[in-house]
Amino acid sequence: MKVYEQDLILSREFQGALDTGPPRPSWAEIEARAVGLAPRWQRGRLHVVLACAVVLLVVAIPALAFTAHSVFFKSAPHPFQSAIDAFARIGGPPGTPANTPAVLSQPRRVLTLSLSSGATAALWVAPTVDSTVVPWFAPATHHNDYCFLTQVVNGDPNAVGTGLAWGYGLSYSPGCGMHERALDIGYDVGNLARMGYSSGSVSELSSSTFLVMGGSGLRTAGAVEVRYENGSSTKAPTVYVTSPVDATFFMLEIPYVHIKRGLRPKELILRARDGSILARDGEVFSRLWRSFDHPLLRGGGAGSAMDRPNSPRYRERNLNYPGAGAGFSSAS
Amino acid sequence: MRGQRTQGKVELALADFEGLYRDNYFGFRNALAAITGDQQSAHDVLQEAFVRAIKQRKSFRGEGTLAGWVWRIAFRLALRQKSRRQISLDSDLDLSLLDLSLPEPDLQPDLAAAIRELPPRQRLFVFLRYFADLEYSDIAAACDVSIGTVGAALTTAREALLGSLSSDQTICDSLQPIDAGSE
Repeated sequence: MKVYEQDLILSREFQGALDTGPPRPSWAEIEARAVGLAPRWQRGRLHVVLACAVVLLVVAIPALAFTAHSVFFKSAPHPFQSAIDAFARIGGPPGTPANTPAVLSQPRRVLTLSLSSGATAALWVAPTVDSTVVPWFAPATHHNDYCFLTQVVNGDPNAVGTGLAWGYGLSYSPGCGMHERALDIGYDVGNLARMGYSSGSVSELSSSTFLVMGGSGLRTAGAVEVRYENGSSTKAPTVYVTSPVDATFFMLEIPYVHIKRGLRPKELILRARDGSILARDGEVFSRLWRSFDHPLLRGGGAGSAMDRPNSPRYRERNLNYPGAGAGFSSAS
Repeated sequence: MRGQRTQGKVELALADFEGLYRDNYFGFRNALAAITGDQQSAHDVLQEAFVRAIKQRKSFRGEGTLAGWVWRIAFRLALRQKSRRQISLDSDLDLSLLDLSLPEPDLQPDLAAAIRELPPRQRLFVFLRYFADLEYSDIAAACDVSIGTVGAALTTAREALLGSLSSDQTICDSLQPIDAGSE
């Protein structure tokens, strides 16, 4: 028997034993860890170096301490009570004591966006406990992950308490991301008020809104770009949020005309400040349109869809559990 | 070979690694699972191997194939994972430590039993050839042996495997049309 015939037979035998189930390939994670992120074991040292650099810059030349695309987390605006409540419902990952809060400190507002409806969208971010399953050979360095929440504010986002917002209802949850991931993306499409995430006077402003928001572990990101089926695109700058969040965030409004077939978003691209592509994700929009077009999947009213990434798989806390407080209180 | 050779060095782009990863993910993962014992840990090792390979890409001299070079890193990480001890990524690789077996023997019990009968080195070559779908040159680069050594070991292993499996009706069935066609 010739060698290639034997090869064929054995290949067939091995094919029967080939497992193509999960986990799935994740090139974005490799790219993020290899190119855009400091490895875990360097992150601790990097923090020390960065902290020294930041102190020097803050003392010497405050104006240059952060660019317009950076937010110093600890001095970012404080949250609305509704945002505090939403983050307080995030419980620790499996393995932590029951009903432990995942959020390490109050959320802060890191982005605002003026919407075509005249309202303002705010993006709140909070650091959360480490949710990563660390391979045993990766040196253990404690770090945290993060969660984020979008609220649409019908008023001045700086005037705490004036805003009625999406996210007020109990069914609304923040999205969560991991430093090891290049992209964690969420979206809100359509009449969010009808989906039960809002109340009263904000129903009209949210009736035709299309928001995409998310986080990235890539510090070097500078912009996101959403590409549409017709070849056009929308771009928005990203913002880097300092420790303890230490991640990049984005939020952009998609012109509502892009819910039409042939014009729909098909891919989100994360670009570095020099324009090079750091990561791309088409799956989120495939999921969106499957949900949007399917009456049994979308969960909300017709023409609406929403989703939040939850890659760390935190549990939901039962706030009626005895002794379960919010974990922190509003400073406002 | 992927990459571009310039003045004795090979300049590798991210796309070279991405192509290798995307085209061979399941082969890589399944062969690594034969070392680590399960698919999740094999995935973790594979991710880590590519991250390290990309970071160290300037040290790739082009003396073997890129796939073989990445495999050398992956082997050491898989051994670390399995043996729970430090193994230098720069040390010579002791192939006898790579004791591979089908991660889910119940799927192909006859094949799993036949593989277990092979010496460790032959078993390694068989997994790289038929799970990871590597060429002889890739296997030689990954294991730091000559192509002739790979060829000889695979010939012996093939005969042993087919000998063990020939009583299996599926194998007998699959042999007939090929033999008939070659006559």
